[in-house]
Amino acid sequence: MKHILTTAALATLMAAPAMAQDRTYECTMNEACRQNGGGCVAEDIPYNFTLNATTGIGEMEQREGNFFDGEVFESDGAMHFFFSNTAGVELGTITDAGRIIYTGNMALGDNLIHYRLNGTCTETTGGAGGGSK
Amino acid sequence: MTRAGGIIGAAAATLAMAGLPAMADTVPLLCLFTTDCAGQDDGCLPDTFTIEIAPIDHEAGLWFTYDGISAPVRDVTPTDAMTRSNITLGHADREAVTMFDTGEAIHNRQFYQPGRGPVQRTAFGQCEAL
Repeated sequence: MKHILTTAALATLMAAPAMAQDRTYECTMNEACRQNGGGCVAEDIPYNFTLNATTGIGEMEQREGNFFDGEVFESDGAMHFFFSNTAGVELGTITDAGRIIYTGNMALGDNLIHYRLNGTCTETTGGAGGGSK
Repeated sequence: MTRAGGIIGAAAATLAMAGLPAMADTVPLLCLFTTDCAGQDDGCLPDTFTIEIAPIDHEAGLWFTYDGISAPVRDVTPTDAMTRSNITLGHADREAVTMFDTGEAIHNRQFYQPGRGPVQRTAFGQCEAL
């Protein structure tokens, strides 16, 4: 994995930075833990993630066809995608080895809930699965 | 992002429109959390800790300060949100604190651990204004 920006550089930029190349990942979440992180059950949920190098935006396609824009950050050995909306936030970490943890903190009625998805990813940068958007 | 993300999808968006006051602000907070190791890997150790989200000397903006670590954070709360959220910037770990209007809060930290892969830790707690 080519590290474009150091952590120090990220600190300086303070915002989702534009990076040198698009990065695309096809992921399958194979475990979902929705009872405040517990009660884990097997799942098979497709997620795709893209770093748009031109805009610096992190894009997510959830369950084939639901698109969201967020931010992306890079640290040694991992990419971090971050999304927020009026209900809360979601944070995902994809490692070079192809594993992902994706968590959410959301207000749901009178409750604040936490959920976690675990899965695997294949980086498809430059391949048939994505790359140049 | 204007659409509801996550596995709760549109249900959360509907509830988020219920009219609770906007939470985005820069009020310093002190939060007490307890780590939740349910369903976690063996490396998760139960713990209780505090996080202060406040300005620090000679630096701009708000910072997470806990366990001897200070990291700059950004308020990422959208307009009219029913939660307030802060995320760390320029820090190897990614951390987020999400606080409900009652002060109920969740701390989430994700990091890469060589040989193990992505690791995340979740802690539940309460925040109050300093």
